[in-house]
Amino acid sequence: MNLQQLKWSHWLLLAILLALLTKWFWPTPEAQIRRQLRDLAQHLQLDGKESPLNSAHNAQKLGEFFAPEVTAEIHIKDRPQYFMRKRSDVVDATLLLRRSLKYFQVEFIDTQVRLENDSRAQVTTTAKARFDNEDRYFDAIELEIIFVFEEGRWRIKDLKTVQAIAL
Amino acid sequence: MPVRLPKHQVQIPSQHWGWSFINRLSYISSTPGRGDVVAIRMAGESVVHVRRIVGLPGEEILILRGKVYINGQELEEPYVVAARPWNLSDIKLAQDEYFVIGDFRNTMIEDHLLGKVNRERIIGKVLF
Repeated sequence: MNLQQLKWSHWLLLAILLALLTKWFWPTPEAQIRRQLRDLAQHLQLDGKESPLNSAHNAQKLGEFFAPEVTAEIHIKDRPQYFMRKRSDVVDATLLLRRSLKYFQVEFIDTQVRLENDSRAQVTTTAKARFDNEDRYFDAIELEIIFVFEEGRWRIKDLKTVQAIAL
Repeated sequence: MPVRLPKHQVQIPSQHWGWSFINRLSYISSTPGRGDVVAIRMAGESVVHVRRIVGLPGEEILILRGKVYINGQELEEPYVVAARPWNLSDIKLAQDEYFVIGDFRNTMIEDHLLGKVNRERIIGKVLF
């Protein structure tokens, strides 16, 4: 390798490094939304009974993932239906869930993100959850989520369950 | 394609809790048929529902005291396990819709996941 080639390889390495750094510090909207979902799953996780204070704190933190005027419709067969119209409803529902379960873990899989414009995106995903009350069991629901860029980050504006099989 | 079935998702007697296999090529040259046990995708293919097709596009489905009627004709269903007297009023299927039910029908109809499914959600036939 001559001196000229060596210089070129340095420039190439530098360009790759810059591209990686740009991607890391300024992720695309899609990457930001995917990261939000990962963080949401992490915040939803529950392993062992929590104190009431911790439950309230965690539920409050979770509320930040949602827009103030969020609408959510959760319809799971054999379970009560949830309709939420604002962020505080989500916090209340989360609190109730955290107080009633010992173990909860959720994972968002098969996520597809479609950007509608700079501040709105439609996401379809499957939420695979593991619960524990008496027995630990598994369930999965399909979700359609609208994310909006509000108050400096992507937040959930609409969330509803999708039925693959329906009457 | 291998898929993992959770215990309460097993709706077909030949299946067991654990791994099952789906033939994704089964509907390349043919269309899903009545009696086929198929995998139905959710947002993607990592998690699937497994159900049996009883109604084909354009047909009318009626369930009366646990018996399934297609366009007014009773459907023979030797695979059904412990049917309860379900009732479901007439449902007309669109040209891209199938009607699916599990074989274990010993629950209340409200507790059983049955209904119409779009063709594009059927990803293949379940082998075992």
